[in-house]
Amino acid sequence: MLPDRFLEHQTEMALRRKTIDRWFGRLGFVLTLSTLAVLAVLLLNLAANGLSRIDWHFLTSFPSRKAAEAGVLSAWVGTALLMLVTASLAIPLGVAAGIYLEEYAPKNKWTDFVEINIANLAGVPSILYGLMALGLFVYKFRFGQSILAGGMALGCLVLPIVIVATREALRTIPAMIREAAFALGATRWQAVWHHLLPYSTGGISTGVILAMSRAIGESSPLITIGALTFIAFLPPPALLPHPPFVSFEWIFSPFTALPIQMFNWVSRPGGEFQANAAAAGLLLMVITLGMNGVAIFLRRHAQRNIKW
Amino acid sequence: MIVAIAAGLQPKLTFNPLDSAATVTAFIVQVSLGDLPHGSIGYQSIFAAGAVLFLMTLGFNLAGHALRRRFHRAA
Repeated sequence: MLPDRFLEHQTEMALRRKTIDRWFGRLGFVLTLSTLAVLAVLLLNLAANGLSRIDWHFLTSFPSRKAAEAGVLSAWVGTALLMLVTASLAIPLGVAAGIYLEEYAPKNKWTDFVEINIANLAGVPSILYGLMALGLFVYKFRFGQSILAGGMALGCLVLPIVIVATREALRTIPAMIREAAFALGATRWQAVWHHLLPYSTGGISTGVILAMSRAIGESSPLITIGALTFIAFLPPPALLPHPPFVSFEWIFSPFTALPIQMFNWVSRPGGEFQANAAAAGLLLMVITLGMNGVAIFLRRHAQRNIKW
Repeated sequence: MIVAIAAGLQPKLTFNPLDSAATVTAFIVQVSLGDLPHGSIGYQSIFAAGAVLFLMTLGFNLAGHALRRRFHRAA
């Protein structure tokens, strides 16, 4: 082969490779846009069907047999209380477990085993947490079909997410911080409490909020433990006008939640209930997007204040 | 659960992807939506179905773990 013909061939090949490269870039861009389009279609579809149903009456009414009079009062109150129980179970347990695994635990067969199992738990279908809660919390511990049992089921469900987020947040802190603390004679606990926890608060709270927005949309574990789909009353109030002022009776109250209410309306015939379902879905979407927004804000904020 | 709404709740054995069918999750949800006395056959069968579902996901998780270890070692 002559040298100039060889060169020509090489140039041609290079051009072809560049064309393929450019086309893959375009394809990737379109595919990335299409995932955003899914979110847009989802929101538009919910808004088109349900936006007209959202008003003050919808937010302050109990479910009803008449679609036009039905509302989501008991559902959103139930969701809010569930999140309270879920958070107060998942945050302390998850953060403590994350700190232990990252800062205290030795590297051996036992911690390997624990790690594999946490990864495993994160991949277990949510309905199995519902079954566990049904057998353990509802019947064994006799919590009944209550907010406590539901919140604990969701708490167990998001526990692995909180643990992983905590570990990730701790892992981003440079080793020199720990070494400096130990060099000054700090115990592990002092290093964790005075340095590692404050520095990882942003990462941990981001993970916690993402975990909560996962829990808020779960319906199947709640259906398994027997959350009712038609609740026309509110749980007993948490604050009392007389001593002792605080009551925890509400944790044993039967409940419903937004996703359950939505599931119930979706499975009914008739366009009016479908509109109600879309409206409840829209509400759920807004809450979830809001929570994700807070998570993004916290991450930005935490990154800005820390300079190693 | 998502599938319960999109794919229906028909307990049919079909290989036609356009037909409606039920998933294990859908079965458990459907049974627990009804009245479910503690210790009844329905109560026991959702736990059996759940155990099968768990074994399936455990299989996938173990396979994923094995794959990850293999590629980590190669790298």
